[in-house]
Amino acid sequence: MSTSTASHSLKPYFLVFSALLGLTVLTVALSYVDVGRALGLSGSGRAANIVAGLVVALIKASLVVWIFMHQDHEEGINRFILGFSVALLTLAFLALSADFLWLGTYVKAAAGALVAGR
Amino acid sequence: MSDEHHATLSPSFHAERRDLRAMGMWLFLGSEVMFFTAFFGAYIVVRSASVESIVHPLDKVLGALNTVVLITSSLTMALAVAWSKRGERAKTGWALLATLALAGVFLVVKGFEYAHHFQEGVFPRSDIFHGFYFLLTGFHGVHVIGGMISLAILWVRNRRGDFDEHYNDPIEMTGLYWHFVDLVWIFLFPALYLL
Amino acid sequence: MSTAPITRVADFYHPEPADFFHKYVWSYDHKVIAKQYMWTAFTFLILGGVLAMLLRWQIAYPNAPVPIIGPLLHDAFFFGADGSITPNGYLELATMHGLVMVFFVIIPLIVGAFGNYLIPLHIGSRDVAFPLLNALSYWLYLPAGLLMFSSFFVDKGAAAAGWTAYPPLSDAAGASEPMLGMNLVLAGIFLAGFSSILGGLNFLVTIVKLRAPGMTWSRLPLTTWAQFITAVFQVLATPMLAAAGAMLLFDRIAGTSFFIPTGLTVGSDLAANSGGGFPLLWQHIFWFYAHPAVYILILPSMGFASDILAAFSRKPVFGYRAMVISLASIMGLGFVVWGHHMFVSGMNPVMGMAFMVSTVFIALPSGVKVFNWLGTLWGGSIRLKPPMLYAISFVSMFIVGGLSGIFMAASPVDIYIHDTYYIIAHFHYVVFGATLFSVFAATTYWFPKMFGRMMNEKLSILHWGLTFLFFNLAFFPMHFLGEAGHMRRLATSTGYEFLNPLAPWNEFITLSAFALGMTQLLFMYNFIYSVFKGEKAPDNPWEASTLEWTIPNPVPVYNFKELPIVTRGPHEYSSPDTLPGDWLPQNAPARPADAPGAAPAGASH
Repeated sequence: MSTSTASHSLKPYFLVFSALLGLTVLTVALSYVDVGRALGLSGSGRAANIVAGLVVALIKASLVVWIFMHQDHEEGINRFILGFSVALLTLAFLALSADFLWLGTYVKAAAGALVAGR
Repeated sequence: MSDEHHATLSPSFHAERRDLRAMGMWLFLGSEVMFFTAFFGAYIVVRSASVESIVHPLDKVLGALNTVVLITSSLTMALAVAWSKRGERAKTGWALLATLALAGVFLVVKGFEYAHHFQEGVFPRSDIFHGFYFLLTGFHGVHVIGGMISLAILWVRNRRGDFDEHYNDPIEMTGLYWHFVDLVWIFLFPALYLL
Repeated sequence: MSTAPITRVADFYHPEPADFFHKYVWSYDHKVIAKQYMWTAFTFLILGGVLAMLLRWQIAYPNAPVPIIGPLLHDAFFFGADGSITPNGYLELATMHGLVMVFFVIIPLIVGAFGNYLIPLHIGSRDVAFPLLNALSYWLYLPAGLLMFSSFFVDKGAAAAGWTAYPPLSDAAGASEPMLGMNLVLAGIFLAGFSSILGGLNFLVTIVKLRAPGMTWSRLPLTTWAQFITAVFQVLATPMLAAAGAMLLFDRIAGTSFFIPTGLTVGSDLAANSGGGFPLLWQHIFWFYAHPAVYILILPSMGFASDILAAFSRKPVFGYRAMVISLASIMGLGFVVWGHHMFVSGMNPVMGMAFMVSTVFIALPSGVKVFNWLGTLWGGSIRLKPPMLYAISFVSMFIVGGLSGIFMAASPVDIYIHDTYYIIAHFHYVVFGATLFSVFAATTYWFPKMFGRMMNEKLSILHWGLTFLFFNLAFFPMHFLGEAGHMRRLATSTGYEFLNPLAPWNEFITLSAFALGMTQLLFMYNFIYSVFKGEKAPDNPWEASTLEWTIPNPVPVYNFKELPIVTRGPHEYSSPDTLPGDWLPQNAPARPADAPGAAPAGASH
């Protein structure tokens, strides 16, 4: 339950730190590359880059949450609180996207119609 | 709220109260997740529904530098918490100071970025991208400042000898908050600078 | 004060302060903080009521000068030169009435006042988990209220875009002229939201961590369960409101355009903002909060009603477990129904369908609760005391409000009745008819414990009867008005031919509303008089079984001399164990017949 044991080694913190630095280098490097083309998925535009950036960010976030924030030792209720919040975040993103991606097609079509001079 | 009213608060009391405060802090962080959800969500959908790309390039080098600064400050914060739990007062003080200093560096770099924008005549009202940029980094910055105030108070209290291996939860709780501030930046940096 | 080391958090409490400031102003005692919330919220209730009376005047007698006040305050606030209410003044009234009632009356009353007072007592603890944070929560709420109130006095007045503050009206129009009033209101809401988040956080930790030994989750009073679920909404939904409000403030002050589309014109000019935003974005973020907010407005009052109905039926609540599961279902579903406020917004129709389905689903747990309340009353030994009268009315009016909700849940119907008086009827039935009646029930019920005196019973019954009568006379006809197409937030209906036949109804409703308002003076007088001069109350005037009734009046700062050991559920009424009486407190010995020298049923410790 409590994480106030004094006998934790400090090594995990330095390992995570190195990993986070490495992942930062990776994510910056990836931003200069067309990930879609490199994976043979040409024509996907920025989508592959966005997914790659998101995946790296999620890995970094997981390391911070699990090791730095001691979720590896935390009690169930605190894990549930975090999990529920992330679930709500996901819900909000999905709902907003569902509406705006749909809306976007109309907005873009209307703009296209305008550009075409109708 | 001073503990001088009571003779002593035993180690089991501190351990129990630490658990209460941890739950409270996780709830607060949950609310903060929801707060930034609205901003990030709005940015994502405005970007995806806009006819033309709204993205303007930002200084990736400064952004990456700030990322490294915050990650390092998370390390020093974690060390401060760990040393405090071992009763290592001096090391705790140095780690807290380092975290505070790194936070200051972060704000200075951000300040340079803002100043550069203003010099170029770019303000929050200039376009929708910069509206989001200033909104997101602005509120993140406010949270950094809040963390710095807490860190400064902790450094003073630690120097005064308030903390020991039984009672150190203010440092631990501030640590949780500080890691969260780092977490937001971990997503902010790619969202605004890279993708 | 003992000097022995304190080993458990449960043993810790802040001692009774000696000076006036720490006793009544900056207090850590949850009971004092609760009363601070109560007095402040009741004061704002008067303000909100006055705003409603003014707006009802304009609806019934369009452009007629308001008697007495109008000529006195002409050209100030909402009044025109002749003392009648101006169109913008009307919108200001409608907006501020909603904001004041939701954020500064109901939530502070049912959560800040009653939640604060009851939670520690119901779970058997000495205070909440974070008493300092508790004090801070109140001292964020009061300045928030004052900020909101100050908006009436600035140039161009208070917010006037509806409590829902939809852009572009709340946004671009304000962006071109700095309407300070709305900015002050937004700042007030921001502070009030922060107060709410901290309060909810406090209650969650308290309920999870500080329950007395034996107080298992299945023995919690339903009041506490309801507060628990409400607190989840407070902590996780309110930040969305803060974020939306911050973006709106940025638009208004910093000239951003999160909610302003490109090319928007205000009047005949292009809006000053750069464009690129979406008004629909506001609606999504706002309602993501504001729908859970309406559950914040109703769940605690459901909790009060459940425990009060049990106490005055001398029966346990019918289906305790179903009640808890219903509360938990509302918590889960409550986050996925917000789109039913947006059926006509132009959002994705597939999402509209999804929200319709989820909204119809969320009616089920509420329906279960209604049947369980009826089941609690059925076959009970009914004691028709004022709390019971109010609680029974709560149930009947919640049924009416809930039924109108079912119609609105169906998007084909809602497309027709959205933004009409039908909606106004619905939410007044649930917030006034249900929640406020439950507040009256809770006030008359817990008054003896809070103030050590009884409220006058005859006056309460008179207040109950007249309020019930005038409330229904005022709000039931609004269903018909809505079906006939009478729009809401309409300053003058005389401009629309099809509304002219409805004018007599508007007048009837206004007169009923005035009578309703006047009737509340009875409650005010009863409350204030009884605080100082009411008949002294015994420790447990209602013979109720929950833990707060086991301690003496006035409740000492440490609540329980020795923390109780809970052995039974919250509604130990009329079970064989209770013989020869009909009730036992929650901490009564497990088998009273066997315990040596057992105290007679009902004796306090």
